[in-house]
Amino acid sequence: MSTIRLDHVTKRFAEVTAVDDVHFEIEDGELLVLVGPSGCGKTTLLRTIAGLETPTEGDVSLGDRRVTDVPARKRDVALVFQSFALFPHMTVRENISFNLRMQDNLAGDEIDERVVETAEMLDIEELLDRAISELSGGQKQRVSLGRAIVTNPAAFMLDEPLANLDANLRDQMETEIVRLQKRLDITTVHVTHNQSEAMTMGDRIAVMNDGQIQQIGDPEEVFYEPANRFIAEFIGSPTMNLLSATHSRGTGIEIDGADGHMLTIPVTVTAPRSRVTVGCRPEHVVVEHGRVSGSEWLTDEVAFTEFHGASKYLFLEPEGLDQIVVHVDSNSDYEQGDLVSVRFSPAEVHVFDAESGQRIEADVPDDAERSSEPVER
Amino acid sequence: MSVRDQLVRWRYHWHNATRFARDHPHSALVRLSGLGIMVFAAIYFVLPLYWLFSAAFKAPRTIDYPPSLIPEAISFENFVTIATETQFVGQYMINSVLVSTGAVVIVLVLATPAGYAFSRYDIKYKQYLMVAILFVQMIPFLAMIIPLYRIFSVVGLLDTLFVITLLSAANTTPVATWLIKGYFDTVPDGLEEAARVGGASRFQAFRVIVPLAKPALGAVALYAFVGAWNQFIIPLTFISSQSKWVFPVALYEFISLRGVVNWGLLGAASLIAMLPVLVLFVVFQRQFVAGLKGTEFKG
Repeated sequence: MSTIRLDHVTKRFAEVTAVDDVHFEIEDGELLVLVGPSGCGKTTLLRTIAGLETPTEGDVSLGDRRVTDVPARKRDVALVFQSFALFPHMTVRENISFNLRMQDNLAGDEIDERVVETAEMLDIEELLDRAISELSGGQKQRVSLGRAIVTNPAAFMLDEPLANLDANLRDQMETEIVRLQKRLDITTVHVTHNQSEAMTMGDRIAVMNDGQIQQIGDPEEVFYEPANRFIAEFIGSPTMNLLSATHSRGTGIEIDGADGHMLTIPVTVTAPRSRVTVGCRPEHVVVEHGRVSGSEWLTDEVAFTEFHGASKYLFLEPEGLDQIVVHVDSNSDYEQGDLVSVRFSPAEVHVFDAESGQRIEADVPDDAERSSEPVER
Repeated sequence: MSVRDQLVRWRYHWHNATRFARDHPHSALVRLSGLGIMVFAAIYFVLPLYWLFSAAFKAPRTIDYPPSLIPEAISFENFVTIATETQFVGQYMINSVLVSTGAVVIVLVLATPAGYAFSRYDIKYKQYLMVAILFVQMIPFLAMIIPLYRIFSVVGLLDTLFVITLLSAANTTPVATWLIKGYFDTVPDGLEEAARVGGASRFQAFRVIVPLAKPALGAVALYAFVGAWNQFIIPLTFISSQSKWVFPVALYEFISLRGVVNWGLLGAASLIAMLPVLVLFVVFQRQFVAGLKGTEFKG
């Protein structure tokens, strides 16, 4: 068990900077999820920690040990691959025991014992003598997990291990990996491009884009207080409504409405910027039937609806504005073509600088109610 | 499959082909001419062989010119003569097998790590090195015979089977390296990375991966074996004592020394010389093709 410290790690491939000055620490026994779009450098960062890549600049430490120049096999880090990377010419037993067999100091009996123990933990003991080609995707994933944990490594790296599984199995494996990680109390880095997987699994989430860490925090923090526009768009499904707006100290934030009138949100921000981007999650858009008067309300027809089981999404396409998505209960009676009015709940509006995209803290009027409290930073 | 099923199947294929020809007359013509060329090539290669082998099964001194294609009576007399009066089934065969097997071993030992390294490592000037390796093979062998003769006479390797093995292996290794490199390219990196993270050194990881390249190694082995088996100029030049002859040189004797070509004996001897290679190809044909193609791995 140990902490992982990344000290200003940069990795460049020829012209491309895959990882750009990443600096943070992963605590002992923590499950950190590295999430970001394809090509953002998350896998490269993971491989740097595992020792398959050497950082161009910076240092990697495991516990008190600086491992920047230590080869992968001596790092005591286990890695699970997206492609499973099981040895196709070996049986399940040989695959799981592989890492143990690579250590010289273990007797055959002990290896057997630990393989069986691990297989029992993953519920695959009846598969031990099968060939890899006989396994289903989920079983391969378990074998691959087994091969990684059998040596009791100091840290556990998961490189999109669920990407090759179908949706139901993925949910099941998400839970299982978290349970396994908590049971073994092992420092874990899990890489994914799936933001909902990240929020479900992570003790903390590190959002990456263009090789840089955009924000690190627990899932609630990243969800409720996205540090910039990129995160606001990336985290949450469906994505946050983002509209460009103007800000003035007197009236607050104004969005140019469709029929000439301004849609006002009574929120002021600390910095006196005029152009801002305002964001509001579909869950936080307040909706009413018919036309509601008042400058805070925008009235439009429901362009179409999307049914998602427990919830339903209304899509508005007001003239001159970007699409607005509204979340309602699926048993509510909003239909396509209905005239509705919407309002952005002031307490749950996110304001970003129009140019830099950075979050600007908003002054919420005291009377604005908040449906969910952000977690302490 | 019953005869009826076979007929139904043919009818289906015929209908399919005629419909294709109707709908795409152009492509049909291209395919037909392709087929014609292949049939012609097959006849071109098979006919002389067939004639030689049919000669082998005729009684001695019954081969006339122009040859009759179908022997009137099957006779094994030629084979008996070859087996009893020459070293064909004895020393020559042993020599040929020794030389070819030795070449296979040398080629595999050299080309496997070389191909692996070319596939996996970031080597400076890799492309140039790869091409340079192929260039070696483009030098006409006859141009090197005299220098090689000098070298081997100095080293004292003239008139040994080892010379044939060595030169034949040297001749095959470049292409073998390319083939093995190409095959390793189709094996995902993840497997070695998994091995390395799991505690294996680079060399141990290599050993874990090698069994996966079996089809390519098999294809290369076959290629090296046949290459050595068919060597003619090398043994003819570098070998002087008859006890070290290999098959092709021995076959040559049927033409040169006796003045008249004894077609029956030559046919029988050729058949014996070809048989091992033929068997290898028939048995390993599928693996050979797979080894040349590369595979998709599902780990």
